[in-house]
Amino acid sequence: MGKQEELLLEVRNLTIRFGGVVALNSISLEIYEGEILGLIGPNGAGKTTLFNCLSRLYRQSEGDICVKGESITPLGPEDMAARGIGRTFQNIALFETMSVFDNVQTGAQFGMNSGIAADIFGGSKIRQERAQERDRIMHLLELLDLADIADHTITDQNFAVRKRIEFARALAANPSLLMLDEPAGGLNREEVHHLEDLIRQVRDEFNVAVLLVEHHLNLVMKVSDRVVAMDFGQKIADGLPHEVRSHPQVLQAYLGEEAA
Amino acid sequence: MAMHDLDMTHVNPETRKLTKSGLPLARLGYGGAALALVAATGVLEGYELFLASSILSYAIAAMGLNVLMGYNGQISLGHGAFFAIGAYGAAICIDRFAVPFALTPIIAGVVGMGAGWLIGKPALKLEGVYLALATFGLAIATPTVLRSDLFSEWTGGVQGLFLLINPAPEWTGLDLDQSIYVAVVLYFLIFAFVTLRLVRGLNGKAWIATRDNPIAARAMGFDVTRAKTRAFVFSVLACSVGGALSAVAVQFVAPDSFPFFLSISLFTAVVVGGLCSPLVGPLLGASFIVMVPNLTEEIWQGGSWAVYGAFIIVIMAIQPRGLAGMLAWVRAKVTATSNND
Ligand SMILES: Nc1ncnc2c1ncn2[C@@H]1O[C@H](COP(=O)(O)OP(=O)(O)O)[C@@H](O)[C@H]1O
Ligand SMILES: [Mg+2]
Repeated sequence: MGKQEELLLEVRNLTIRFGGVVALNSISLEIYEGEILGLIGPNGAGKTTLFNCLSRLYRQSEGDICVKGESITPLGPEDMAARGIGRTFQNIALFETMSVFDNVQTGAQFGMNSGIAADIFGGSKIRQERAQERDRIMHLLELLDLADIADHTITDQNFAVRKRIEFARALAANPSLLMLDEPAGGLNREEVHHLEDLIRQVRDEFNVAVLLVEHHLNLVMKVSDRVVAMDFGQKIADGLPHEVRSHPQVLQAYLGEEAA
Repeated sequence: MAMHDLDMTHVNPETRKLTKSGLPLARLGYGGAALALVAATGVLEGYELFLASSILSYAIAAMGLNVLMGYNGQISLGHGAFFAIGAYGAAICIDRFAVPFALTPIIAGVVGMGAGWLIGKPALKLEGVYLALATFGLAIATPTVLRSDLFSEWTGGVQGLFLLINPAPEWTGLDLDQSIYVAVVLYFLIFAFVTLRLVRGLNGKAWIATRDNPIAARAMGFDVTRAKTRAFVFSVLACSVGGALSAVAVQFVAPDSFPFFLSISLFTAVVVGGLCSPLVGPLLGASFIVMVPNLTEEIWQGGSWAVYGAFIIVIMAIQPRGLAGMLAWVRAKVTATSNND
């Protein structure tokens, strides 16, 4: 499945500074509907910072972000689920005391009636709505091989499983853009293989665009339709995977990192 | 009272499905417990009824505070102030406006919520120990404000107010103690129902998510500020209603009944009872703060607080999830042995 040419998200001249550090330096990029966009760059290049701007956890100093033509700059992080922007966290941010099922379910609650009265009196419409959610979430858990541990607590789960739970939680929101921050971190080779299939399968089944940050270059080059490389908060290359891979500035950035 | 341990934080979705689709075992348990509470009206007498009314009033307050501290993870050392607002609200309603005593918790609750909202707005910008200290300031100020000449025309100043309470109409056949107890049970059941529905509903999800990981909670679309405010206002409502009912049960309010130690007692009830056990914890915790000080006085006259303190330390050392946690542990053991037979 190739990329569709509908523009989903546009980042324009985004700049953010932390004290003296310019974490993003006037970066611009586009994401199209249904495409898998790989985002690579050495440690500290600003990839996670870009995620945090897109999910409104950080506010940029300059520049603008548009989703389907509408600026999301004035919005807060709690508005992004409704705008179709979902994400996972590089260092895992699950709800530690909830079960696996409940964690994933939190991803799906944002459009639902969460009023006091809805909880207390919960008429048949609300019950039905919540029951449908439950079925959808069980389906997601099966897809991500989590159904067997649905009622287990998070505390017992290893890093790789936690990453999958985060993946499921982000998907539960039915996003149009799924941002994955180093999903292969801590995975063994077989698991990385599996993740590769999973990302493609999810894109096809849910028709979601994927923004994939990953150090595992082979993975990125294999699954991405397009790749953006960044260094020092700037975009240094943007194109097909094999083009970016052999781009001189990219080679230099990665060689520089290895030399350091 | 045979109630189930109701910690729903770790509930299994399958069990939840079962209870939904016509296996209402838990509901039977609740119904039975509710009936037992009502039936106790005819069994308990005089002082016992008073004691039961007190425990249930404190349990209502603890249920609310448990939502704030257990589910939403915010620490308050000042909810005795809201208990006092509720108690004085009810007392003034009865003293000045001859409001039927059973209606006073509603008025006290509205007044308390107003106060809670005003105080909560700025206070909720604080977190953890800072919120704990700010609320503690409230608790310290309360007795002085109640004693002050400024309001003494309404509050009765140092003397406080004696409350003339009329029993339920004659056709009910209830005497005064019974009338009060029945009203307390009614409010308790309402709060029990509402608390359970909230902590198991989306509000409970929002409270737990906010407590566990506020950043992820926001990224999932939870309105963290709203969740915190709701938890705070609900806890204040429960404490005001509990205070109103306790004033009715004692038929008297005075500044000395609301020292800062009351706030610590409510805190104790929640933690000793068991955080995040929505019903059983507050019931056990309220029983603890009402009954144990009297018991320890019998164990060691003059040293009762030392014994009380030792009890708290031992309970926390054995089971951080408090008395409800112990009860759940015992029940799990009993089920395991009976399954082995
Ligand atoms: N909250 C923050 N406060 C200060 N500096 C930050 C913060 N977040 C990121 N940075 C800085 O921004 C730069 C980019 O970091 P990051 O986005 O995490 O890189 P990457 O994810 O590409 O490895 C780093 O220099 C980092 O120290
Ligand atoms: Mg990063």
